[in-house]
Amino acid sequence: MEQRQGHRLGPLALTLPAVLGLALLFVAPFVTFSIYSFLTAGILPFSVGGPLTFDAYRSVVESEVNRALALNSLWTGLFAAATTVVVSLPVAYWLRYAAGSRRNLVLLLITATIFASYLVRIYAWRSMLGQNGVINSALVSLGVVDEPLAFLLFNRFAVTVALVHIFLPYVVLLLYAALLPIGPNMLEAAQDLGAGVVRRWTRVVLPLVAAPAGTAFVFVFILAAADYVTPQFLGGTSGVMLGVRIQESFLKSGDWPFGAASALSMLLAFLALYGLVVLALRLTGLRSIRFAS
Amino acid sequence: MRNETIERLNRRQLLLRSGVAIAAIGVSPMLLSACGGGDGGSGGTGAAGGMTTAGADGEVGGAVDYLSWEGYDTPDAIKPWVDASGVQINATYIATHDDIQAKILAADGSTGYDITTYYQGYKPLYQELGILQAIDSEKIPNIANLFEYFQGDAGGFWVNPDGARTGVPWTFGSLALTWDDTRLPGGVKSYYDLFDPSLTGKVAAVDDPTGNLALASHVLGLKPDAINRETDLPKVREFLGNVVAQTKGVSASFGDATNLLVSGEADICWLGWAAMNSFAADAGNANVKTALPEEGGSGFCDAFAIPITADNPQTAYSWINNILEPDVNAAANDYLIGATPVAGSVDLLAPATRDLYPYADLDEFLTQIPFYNNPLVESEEFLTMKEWLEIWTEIKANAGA
Amino acid sequence: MTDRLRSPGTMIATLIVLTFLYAPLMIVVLFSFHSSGGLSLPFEGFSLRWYEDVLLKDEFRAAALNSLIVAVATSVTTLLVGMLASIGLSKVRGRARPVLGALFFVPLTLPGLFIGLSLLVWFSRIGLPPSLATVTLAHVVYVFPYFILILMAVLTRLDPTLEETAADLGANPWQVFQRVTLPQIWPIMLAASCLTFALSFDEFIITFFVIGSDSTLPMYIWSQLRRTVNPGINVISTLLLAITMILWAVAFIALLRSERRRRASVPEAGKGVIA
Repeated sequence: MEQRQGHRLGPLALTLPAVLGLALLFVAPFVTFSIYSFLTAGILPFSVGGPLTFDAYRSVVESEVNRALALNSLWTGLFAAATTVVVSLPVAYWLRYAAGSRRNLVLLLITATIFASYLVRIYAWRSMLGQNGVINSALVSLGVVDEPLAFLLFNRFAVTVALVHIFLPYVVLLLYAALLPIGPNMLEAAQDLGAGVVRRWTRVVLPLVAAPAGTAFVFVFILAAADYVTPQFLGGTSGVMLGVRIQESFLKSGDWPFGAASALSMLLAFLALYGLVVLALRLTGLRSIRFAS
Repeated sequence: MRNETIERLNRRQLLLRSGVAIAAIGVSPMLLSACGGGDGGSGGTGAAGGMTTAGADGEVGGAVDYLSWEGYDTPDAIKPWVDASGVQINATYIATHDDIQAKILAADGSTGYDITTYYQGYKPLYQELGILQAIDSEKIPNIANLFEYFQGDAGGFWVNPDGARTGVPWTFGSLALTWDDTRLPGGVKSYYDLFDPSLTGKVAAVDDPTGNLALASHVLGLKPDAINRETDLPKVREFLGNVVAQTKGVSASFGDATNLLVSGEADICWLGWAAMNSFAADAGNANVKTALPEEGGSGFCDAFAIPITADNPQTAYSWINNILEPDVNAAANDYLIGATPVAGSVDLLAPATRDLYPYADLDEFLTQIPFYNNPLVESEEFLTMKEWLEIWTEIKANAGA
Repeated sequence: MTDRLRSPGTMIATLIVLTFLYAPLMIVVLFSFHSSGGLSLPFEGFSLRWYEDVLLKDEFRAAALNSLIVAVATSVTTLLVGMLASIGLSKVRGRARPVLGALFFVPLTLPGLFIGLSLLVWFSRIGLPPSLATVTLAHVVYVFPYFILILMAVLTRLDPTLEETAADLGANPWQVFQRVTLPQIWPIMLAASCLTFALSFDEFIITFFVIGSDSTLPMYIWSQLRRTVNPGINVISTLLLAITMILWAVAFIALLRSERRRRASVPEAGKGVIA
């Protein structure tokens, strides 16, 4: 036993390169970034200085434009996250319990789409949803509509569709992994006890999957709300997101404190959301969220 | 100078390494020394007061670091010069004009940008930031090839009141309207025709804050660097708001707006640019045309300049001199679908390019497409650049959000 | 796994999802063969001209090469550091464990915007000029949590008695790793490396902030998108898709094979990841 105790320091040592690397490349930059949010922008772009103040945060909060953009980002994130999670659930269920021998093939097919180029995908949706796009052409030639539908593209619908397309494989995988520990016996038992499909879902599957679904929701929300490239190409006039403002603050107007303050405010909002979800799960008696569980 | 105090405080608080000329938060040592404080830095001073002149002595050749738009390095047009002088061009392409000052300010010793360009509106800012060196006009004899207007200190865009030259114009054009002629034969007569209900959802716009302000100001009879917040700004807001309301969204780039014209999503583009004609033709639509409506347009003129980071200024001089050769400039502007400021180039242009601009009566034309300045960096009375960027974001997002 | 849980509703949902996922990708591939320059219908005919166009372009080849270099560097670095870190993390006990876990996983929750911006600021502060090296460093930060997540999922399911037995029989930690742990986890490490490679190869937002004057493939695609588009971007995407899908299929199959072999030989040895 002493042999093992001597090795107790061993595992910690193994993590050292990673810890050092992250300290240098993640923690330190983050701290520096945060310090910037407390600095004052100089008159000329790309210049900053002391004293330390909350001014940047004040302008972030007071800016009406920021509020509108933040709200926009919020809605986008919400729609994308909700749709993705809801659509992924039945797929994860099928993969876990009803797929049989086709499971591996379908898993492979679904996860393989993760590797389609992010940028080109966005453009592909233009080809799908545009006036002369695939969907409209099909509808018109089949005689379903006389004129191409104009409301498919350049609005929040198109952005949501594209974002769901991006995050769907991840969430299916997440939920499938979450269902793995839940043996079919549990569901069969419920069925034996007379529970119909609805009850099986609401009483057995959903409560067990609620925590991972919550994790997936927050994950997609954060990434979708912060995505400013997809909305730029597909969102039309509702395609202006907070992210693009932050990027412009850094690269265009050279107002780094404002950009940093905006970014950190966004982060705080995400943390708040995460906290809310954890709280909601605790209050409703469902398990709390864990990462690699 | 106010900035001096700010920089000093900052460095004392955040200095992590001592004795080194710090690029504090992407601000180059040059800027610090320009403001009077600094651990030293190398090269020129800038800002108010004398500018150092870029040396043009030494061999032309070696590596020259180009920092500007892709395409402005006109590879085919300058190929003979490149072959003859044996230079090797290292190009850094910018995505937006502000990348220029961002990159020059952030450059440490390793990337000595030798040649760059600037749109005339940015001159005051670059002057204040002190990122450009003075150019010795005598080392560029071909300046004499330019039309008179472009040789002098018109608008202070290329020559300072004290005689120091900051830039050499080599291409110009104007923002106007671009449209698909099959879907909208003849285009429209006036910018106000864009508000016609038949064009709702069929207008494209480009996300270029400076360009939008310049053109809108022009239409409204205002100047971008003198927009009164109380009386003028609401007019600009209303006008641009109405334009954006006619669109399905503001395109991220001119290329993307062209895509909309080509794919049929839009029929006409506010902030049109003649080059879009050829972009569209490459993408399969040869019916895209650009023209000035009755109100005229806002002009843009790009000038070559030498940043203070230049370590091969003599080659930059040679580049600039070469681009003002009549045949080279004609080739360059054919490629860019731009207007040539070089008198001898007009007849050498391809007919299609030449027809775009009324060279026969250039003076009259220049009054139709005035060159404007950007909004000021700081001002009590007028709209500042920072304020405008915020307002433009609002306008972009308002119609529909 | 019985027939009783079969549910036509979920099967239909899965079919719809598969169609949804693949429809745009089919469009991308289809238009890469377009004989004309447009990206909207009508489809005018098949041609390989855009493949020729793209593959002959120097900028494309340079960008592709750079992406390859960065992705390989990122995967290798992440593999080495991540392997050590995940093994360490799986064995660490006490208060250190949640702290380490938090540190390793937090970058996962941060959108590329934050990572890219904070590194932009940081690199400029410490005077590191933007280059492919800074891109690689940034990518490692980005992909590291994914790697750890996958590895931890496996390591926590491993049967510790195997390792303890080996140690008791006199094997030192390196031998334990080599003879016991590694054979069990190498397929998942391969899969994780394929994932990190693909993530790095396709990464755009972070790269946008920390790159110098070089170009990676996503940056090249981005610059193409800012202009008038032509099927060239479809070509690039089709090529990317083909390569990464093959990589992924290989990793996936290796994973399945090893799972099957493992379960066949040691029936009680922990739960599989693919089940």
